[in-house]
Amino acid sequence: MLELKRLQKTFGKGTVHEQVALAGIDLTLENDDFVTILGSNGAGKSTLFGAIIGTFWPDCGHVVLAGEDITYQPIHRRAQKIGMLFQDPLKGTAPDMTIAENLALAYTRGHRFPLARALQKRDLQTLRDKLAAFGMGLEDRMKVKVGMLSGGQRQAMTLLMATIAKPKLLLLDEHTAALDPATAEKVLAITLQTVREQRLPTMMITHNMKSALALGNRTIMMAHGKVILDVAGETRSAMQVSDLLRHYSGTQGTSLDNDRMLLGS
Amino acid sequence: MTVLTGSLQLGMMYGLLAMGVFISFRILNTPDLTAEGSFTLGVATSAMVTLAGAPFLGLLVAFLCGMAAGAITGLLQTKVGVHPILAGILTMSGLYTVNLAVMGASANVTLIGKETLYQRMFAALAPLPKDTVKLLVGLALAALLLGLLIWFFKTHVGLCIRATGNNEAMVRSSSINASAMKIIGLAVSNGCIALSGAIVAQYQGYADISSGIGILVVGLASVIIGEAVLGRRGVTLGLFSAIVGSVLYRFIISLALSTNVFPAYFLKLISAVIVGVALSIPTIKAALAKQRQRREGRRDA
Repeated sequence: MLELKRLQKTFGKGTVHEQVALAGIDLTLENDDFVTILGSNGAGKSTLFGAIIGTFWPDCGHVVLAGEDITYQPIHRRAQKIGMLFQDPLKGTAPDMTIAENLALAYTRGHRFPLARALQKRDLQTLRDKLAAFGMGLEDRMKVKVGMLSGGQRQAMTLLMATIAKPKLLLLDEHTAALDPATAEKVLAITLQTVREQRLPTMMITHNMKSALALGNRTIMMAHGKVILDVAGETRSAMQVSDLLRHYSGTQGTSLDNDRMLLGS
Repeated sequence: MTVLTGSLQLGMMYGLLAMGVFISFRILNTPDLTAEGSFTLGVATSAMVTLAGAPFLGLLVAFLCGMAAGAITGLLQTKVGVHPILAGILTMSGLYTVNLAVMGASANVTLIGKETLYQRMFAALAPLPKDTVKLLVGLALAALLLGLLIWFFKTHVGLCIRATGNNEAMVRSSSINASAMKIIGLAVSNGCIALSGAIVAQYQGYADISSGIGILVVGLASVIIGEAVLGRRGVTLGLFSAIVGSVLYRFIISLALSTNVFPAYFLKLISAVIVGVALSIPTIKAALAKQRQRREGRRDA
């Protein structure tokens, strides 16, 4: 379970560039929640993730994950509990290390003596099986350097690395946006499969309003650092993309402005 | 002593230096100037402990002191946010005083008449000629350290250090403590460099405060020559080729010196030119390729 309590963050306070990124976010995620997040440019979606993974500290408010207050915990400590995928597939893997080495890095994190051999025979089989489940043929290329893989393959590996150590939260920041449509669909499919298998509370930022309503069980919409819509259940299943747009212009007085959303629709 | 035996003897000892430089330069992907100070630190501590009658312990003490020096540079880089090059320069400058202090405020310490590691090995391997024993000592040390480092970079912490050097953005947002990995990596690197200085001091029978000047370039030249010969693939091969490069470097230098092409004081300039040229090869290649492309494009027009 993830609880965000009155999260606030203002960048460049007291300067002409002052920008309120988070204006008091209160949000609770149950363990079965798969939340899709929509919002215009600069609505605070990525900033919200930044506060959760610890890229910066919020001005006030708290981040509580599985009962533990992690607001001020160092990034590498909380990262054991949070898996995150970025839009850029290059951000999640080490290009000059092999597939096996990259996976070993994630698989053995935290729970093994630092001077123990990282890649052990019995692990290798586990890792191969997990890769094989993705159906990308990567399990036969364990000794290939990750830099040789395509963006989609690297993102699939990042997903496996982010979830292999059984985190308590998965954050996806438009993780399929940089991929071609077919690959994006494939990566999304294995994402959903992984989330379902691990019953992992997940937050996914997306610019695709249709899939925001179709995927997961809950949708929130952000604007100016606030949650302006939070729907689940029947209300959500009855909603159309046009309802989302109407709600946005109704509460914000302007129409929803996200360059990728317009391009993608 | 022939050119070949001399190059092998020196090449093995400076091979430890080359492996240390390989760790910071290639694995951690950071230019570390601590080397200039940590090499001399190894020379100084090894000589002083040998004077006190424990030449083997001298190597160990040198290694640990080198690690401490590297850790200081690492702390400056990560915890205080000093620019990597400046962090190395700071440690290096500070070490100058430390090294003088270690050597009892004198710029030279001689080991003549004292029992060094080599005297003990001469006695232990009595029937063997001294030159062979000298070579064996270097070979054994290089092989031992090579084995240890290959093992180390396959452990969990070793993998984390490699990842930190390879994709820091990834490591920064992961459960790996990137700062700690840099500190450990730099400590191991400078430990190796100091160990190299430690054995060189006992080999030549004296310690000199200026032993470390230009030593980083020597290490870089070895790494680059090794890669030119054996290619650039993986850490295991990289460490091995650093030693090979070190031997080849010594061979080239002693050949140049023995044929009287250059006077001995040209050594540092030659090293710097080797490194400078080798590092500019990719850019030169790219520029040549562009030129060719343009020429062919014009021909088509």
